[in-house]
Order: sequence, then structure tokens, then C-alpha cells
Amino acid sequence: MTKHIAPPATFEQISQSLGLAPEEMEFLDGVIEKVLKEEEEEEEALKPGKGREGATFEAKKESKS
Amino acid sequence: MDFSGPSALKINEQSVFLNVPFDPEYSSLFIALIAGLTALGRKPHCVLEVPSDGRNRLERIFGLIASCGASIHDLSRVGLSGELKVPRFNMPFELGITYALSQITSHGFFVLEEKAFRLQVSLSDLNGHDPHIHDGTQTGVLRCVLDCFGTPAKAPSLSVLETLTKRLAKTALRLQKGHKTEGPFHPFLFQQIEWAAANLARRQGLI
Repeated sequence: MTKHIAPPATFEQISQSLGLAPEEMEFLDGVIEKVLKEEEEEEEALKPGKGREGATFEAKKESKS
Repeated sequence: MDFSGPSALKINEQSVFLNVPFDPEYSSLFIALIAGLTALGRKPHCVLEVPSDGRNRLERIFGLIASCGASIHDLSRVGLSGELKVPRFNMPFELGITYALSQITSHGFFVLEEKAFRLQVSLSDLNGHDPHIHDGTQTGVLRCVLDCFGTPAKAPSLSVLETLTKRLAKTALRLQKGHKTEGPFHPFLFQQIEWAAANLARRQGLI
């Protein structure tokens, strides 16, 4: 079977076809925001000097002083 | 059902019917299918949209498949399942319906399998229609989606689709917890996950 080519649907078209209530979309948007924020925090924690290793280093520094 | 003339069934070319196993092991692959298809501007559909105890269920399933421009059929589950240890015939049956449909309409169908060369044994009548092999992984499923629906000029990269899938999986997990369900195979959840996929795809600039 060859590829099935069709013009792509837009977000608005997909959203409209699902027929969700505005409150439900708002709720889902909030859930997505939380997921993306969590991802951002995880990435931030993985940066050098941050996260567990960084925290341990800071804690060691503080205990010495 | 009328396929031509003024009262002909309206076919949505962007709609893709998913004929896949609804079991816990398939959850992550189901999410990957929704993510990949939505990223390409497709709208996934499945039998979750048809009430299981409704009258004329088969007619409604046929109507749903016929209204889609294309379909995906994952025939990976070839073993015995459930308490009665029986094989599941729904998926090959729906593939049969789709094959007949493809002979009289422009409906395009794609067969997915987890393992190479197995379909030649489990469904030899389909020899000549090479299945797309996903190896039971999300990346494999995304690759299959790109192979079936991606246009070379506009298709997003595999890594972009993997990011979307990862985000959608996390979103789906949160929604499942909220609804106290163990999998995404519920009508209301399917709708919410679809909307979330479209929202995430828009945020990534894909649709």
C-alpha cells in the first residue's frame, strides 16, 4: 500500500470535531501545562551544577562554613 | 450504505481508523499512534466511539471505518487471551471489512505487526501486502506512521514525534489517574487524549 496523502487538519479542525466543552478544554490545557512545567524542571535539574549533585555540593559548602 | 450519488457517505480523508488491541501492554503503543497521527494532521478514530452494548454495533463500526479515509490494523496479538484463552477475531474481521471497502472506495489501509514474517503465517491471504513492523516499541510505531502517512517535504523528524509521544504519555497518565482507570481505552479518555495530542502538537508547531 502506498502512502496515504491528505491535506493535514489544523488544531482548530481537530478540536472542533471532538466537541469538548470549553471547561473540559481548559482543564486539559491545565494538565498539559503541568506536564510541560514538570519536564522543564527535570531538564533544569539535569543541567551541570544543578540537581542532586549540585545540591549536595552546596550542602557540603554550607556545612564547612 | 451509499458510496456514490448525492446521498453518498461523507468520507473524511484526514480521519484514520485504528484497529488495534485494547490491552494494557498496548497502551504505550496506542499513545504513540495517537501522537504520531495527530502530529501529521490526522484524526484517529476507533471502536471506543461505538457503544459496546448499542444496537447495530457492527453497522456502526462499518460506518465509522467507511467514514475514514484510511485505517491502521495492528495484527500483533495472535495468541490466546482472557480467562477463556481464546484468540481474538475482531481485529482480523475488521481488517476483512476494510479490505472489501478498499476495493470499492479510495480507503487506504495499512497493516502493522510486531514481528517480521509472522503475518505470512497468521494471515497468508494477505501476502503481497507487506506489513509495517514496529518491534513493539513506540519509536517503531512512530516510524510506521511516518512510513504510511508522512510526506517527505513536511513530515516532522522521528525525534520530534518521540518528544510529543513522551509528553502525551505523561498527560494520559495524569488523566488516567484522575479518572481512576488503568489504561487509555475508555471513550471519554480517548477523546481527551486526542485533544491533548492536538494541543501538544500545536505547541510544538506541528499543526
